[in-house]
Amino acid sequence: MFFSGKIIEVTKLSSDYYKTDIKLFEKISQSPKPFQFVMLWIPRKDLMPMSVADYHDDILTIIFKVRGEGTKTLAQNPGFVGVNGFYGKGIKDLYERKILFVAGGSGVAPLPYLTRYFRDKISIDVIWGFRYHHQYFDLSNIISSRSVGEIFYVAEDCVDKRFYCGKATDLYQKIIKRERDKWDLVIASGPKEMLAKICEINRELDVYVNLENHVKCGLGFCGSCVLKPTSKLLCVDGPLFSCDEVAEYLSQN
Amino acid sequence: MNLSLKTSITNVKLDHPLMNSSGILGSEPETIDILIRYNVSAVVSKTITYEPRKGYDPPIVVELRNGGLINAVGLANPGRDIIPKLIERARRYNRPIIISVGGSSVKEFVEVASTADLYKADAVELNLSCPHTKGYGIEIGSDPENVSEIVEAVSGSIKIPVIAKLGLSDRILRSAEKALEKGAKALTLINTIKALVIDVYSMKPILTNIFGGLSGPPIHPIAVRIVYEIYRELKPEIIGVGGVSDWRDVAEFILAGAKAVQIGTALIKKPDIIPEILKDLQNWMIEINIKDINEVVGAALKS
Repeated sequence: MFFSGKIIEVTKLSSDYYKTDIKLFEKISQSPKPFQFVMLWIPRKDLMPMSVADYHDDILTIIFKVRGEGTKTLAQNPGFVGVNGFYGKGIKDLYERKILFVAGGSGVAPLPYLTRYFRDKISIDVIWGFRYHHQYFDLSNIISSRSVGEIFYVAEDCVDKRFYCGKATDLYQKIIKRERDKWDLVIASGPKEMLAKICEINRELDVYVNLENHVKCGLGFCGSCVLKPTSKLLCVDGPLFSCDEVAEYLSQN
Repeated sequence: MNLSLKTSITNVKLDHPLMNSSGILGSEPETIDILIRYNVSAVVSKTITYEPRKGYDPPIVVELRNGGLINAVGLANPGRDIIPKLIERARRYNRPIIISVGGSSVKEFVEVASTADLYKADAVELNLSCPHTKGYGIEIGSDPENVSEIVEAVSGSIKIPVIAKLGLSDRILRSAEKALEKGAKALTLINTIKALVIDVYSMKPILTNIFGGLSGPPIHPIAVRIVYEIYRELKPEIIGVGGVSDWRDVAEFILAGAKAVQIGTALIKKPDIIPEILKDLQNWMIEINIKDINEVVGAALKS
């Protein structure tokens, strides 16, 4: 469904990352589930798939990185926007799970809502990797729940001593070897190559991946987001899949 | 009791009357798999053009509060080279496949239809009525002379049956007449209806293309009216399409004269709708005491 909305504020989180709160003009009867997404419309400019970063009291939060015309305009607060959603299946039963959330870049976006939705019914540790140290922001500032335990930051440029040097997958490989009984579920969210790697590193663990793909209609009829060679549609069957479900897709470049 | 929902269109045998409408998936082999899972009796491909088309940039669709959908995809498709792959995929499931054909000239229609013919699709459906792609659709289809020329050229060049898909226009009866006269073996009625949706806060049209085609429940009674009128005047084989959301809508199309029915918008919203409708149709058949669905095709016109 299409909903009109108004941007309340845009906050710059770091060199590239922004957060925006959007007030929806209508009450949405059903709250989103974690990992569902919206197609955010910047009038006459762009339509972009965006994870629900947070949602409460008809206010939708989006975390984004400036990449193109649409996100550039969004960072400058265009005022009125449109929100199509909520799309995808999302996830609703994670109760009592001990989760390791591995994020790459803007793949971290679904985290605040995941923690809000399940509150203290889950426990969650986080690895967040980014390319440059100046992209860092403190995740605890955007998370409302106490369910988050440890947060590990990883930067590829290795200039800031506060961050683990390397890629999110490097740290993941290391700690999953050392403390594999600490978690019973891994959720990875980020670029395709990263997700493919996470699925390979440990095949015994229960691992889910949050995919990104080219989404156009969001409703399951245009076929743009089919995860070839499987016949799964990201927009209706996903965006969260088990590694097994999308193994063939992840193995292709 | 043995209730038969079997039917046929242009001699293509169908296990039941329900197929997808063109534009719902069906431009890649992988999405043919999905249509098969939806239980269509025949696969209708997305409209295929001579060259690949990227289509419009999003927004290409808006979901309306009244249950309708407005889309302007812009005939995005991989071009005619995909046709053999689509046909091969449908064959794996032993399911009939109708290739929807689009074009901006008579020559393009003929070329694409010939490819479908060469690889032995079961039929082609000529998209003479897309309401949102300049030079490709309703501008051609609302002129009976254009319809006449395209159908004649295509029918004369291929062996498989030709179905003409027409859209709402003042001269649809004349177009239908021309299409049948020039060799179309059946008609698909109707396409989406040209429409517009505006966001009242930004005060801007939402679709990138501004205009789109309206589908879903709001257009159903219009589609039933067209099927009824064309059936009354010409008695052709008709595939009814437009706003079906339950078995009643299908029954209406059949009573108005349709032998088969396509489902689009409702299939997106409810992927398991086809088995559900089939079951409900059988209950209806028991209630009205018929054994074969074909007994009531056009029954609403009998005095």
